[in-house]
Amino acid sequence: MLNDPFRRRRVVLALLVGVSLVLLTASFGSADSGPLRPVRNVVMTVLGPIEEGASAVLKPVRDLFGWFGSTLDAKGDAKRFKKERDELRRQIVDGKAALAENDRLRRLVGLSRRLGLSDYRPVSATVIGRSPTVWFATVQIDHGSDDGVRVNQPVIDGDGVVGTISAVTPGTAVVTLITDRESGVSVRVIGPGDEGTVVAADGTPGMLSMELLSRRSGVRVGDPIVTAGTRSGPLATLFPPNLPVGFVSRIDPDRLQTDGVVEVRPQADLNHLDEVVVLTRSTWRQ
Amino acid sequence: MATVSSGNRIEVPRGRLVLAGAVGLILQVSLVSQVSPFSGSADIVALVVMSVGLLFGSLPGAVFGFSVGVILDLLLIQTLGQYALMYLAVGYGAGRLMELRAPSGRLVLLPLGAAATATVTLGFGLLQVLLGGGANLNVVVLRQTALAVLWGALLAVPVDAMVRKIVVVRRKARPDTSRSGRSHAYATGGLSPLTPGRKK
Repeated sequence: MLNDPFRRRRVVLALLVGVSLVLLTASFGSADSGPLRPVRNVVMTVLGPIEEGASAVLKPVRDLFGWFGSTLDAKGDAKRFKKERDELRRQIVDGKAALAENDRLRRLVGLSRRLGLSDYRPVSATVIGRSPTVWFATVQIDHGSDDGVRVNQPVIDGDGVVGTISAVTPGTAVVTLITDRESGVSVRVIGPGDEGTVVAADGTPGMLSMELLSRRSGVRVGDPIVTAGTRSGPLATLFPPNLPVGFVSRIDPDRLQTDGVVEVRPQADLNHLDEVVVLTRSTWRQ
Repeated sequence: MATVSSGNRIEVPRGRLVLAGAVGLILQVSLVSQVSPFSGSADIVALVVMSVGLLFGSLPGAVFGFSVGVILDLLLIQTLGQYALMYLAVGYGAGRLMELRAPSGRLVLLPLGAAATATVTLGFGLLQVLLGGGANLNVVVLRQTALAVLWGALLAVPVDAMVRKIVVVRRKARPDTSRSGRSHAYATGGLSPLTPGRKK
């Protein structure tokens, strides 16, 4: 019967397929157990050492392929890691900026609460430009007349007095800092209680001079200086009382005796302004 | 002795076929399966079985594929019969192709290698589904399948050369071989080294 090659082929093929299906059925779900386990054990016993030997012999070849693969992977990883690094750096910068901004805003809010500035209808603004001179006497902010900002309104930041509004457009405004020659703020020294006016110091950019009304003042270096909040007379001001202006940084006894002037360091960092608050309502006028 | 087609009885060098199968299995288990260039892996055994089928015909190819498949199933400690069935199909298919068409030229091995690998890979997946193994078809699997098929195409020629080196026994052509019917394909200078039709 099997002499016919076609028949023989079909029979053998059917037999092999049948055996395959029987094997599948018999060993399905029990690959390492079941009735065929002894056969598997024999095969593994015979072929296991060969497999181990071959594996050891071919290890250098595997390592070579692995080296190529690792190199390619490493190149891909390097590109990905560089991208991640740049992203993380950007996030760090953003985070640091956000922290700094948060700190400034906290100080601003703290000052506002401490001094009860909510009655002055504070408008928060961001500094968008600076005076190009080394004196930094003016800065530009991103709020203007549309937001209720008017000329001469006081401007503060989280540390203290910054200056006053000197020019206004609908969307922006110019702040003249207290270190500008045109500025002058009536102040009071905490402690002795002396009053006077703070103006820009001659020849010392960024510093202030306080012109005392009394030549026999008891001021000392380090005494804090705050706004007087004077509402009438020659020292009338739009600044609310008790806003920090600075502190006495140097006293020249001769100059104090002759001119009644002491040197004052501003409380606010006028060279690094970012957020400021414009007090858009002056309560004493109402 | 095994029969290739009607009237053609050729000698199959069983010892050499065992050696070819062993080399293929060792290469597959100890080397190729453990390196995955571009996350894809070739199926050397499928290519060996395909070459044997192309060299000796459908029946030797089927028997060889089945045998090698059973051993691979045993080595991998998995459900028996899976690779046996797949390699059986590859060996038989390659053998029938040789018997019916006698494809010539080395380049034809590229699509044949791809087809053999695709048969095994997709057939294995289908078998998993039928067995309830939950073959999960997703982009990664498709990508790996495509890479395996690509590797199959690329490695078909060198693997075929290796198999020929191992199993082919040089012999004289048989002038009395019938060239009628299906066997006329052998006279076209096909891939089989047993092609007897080159009369000078």
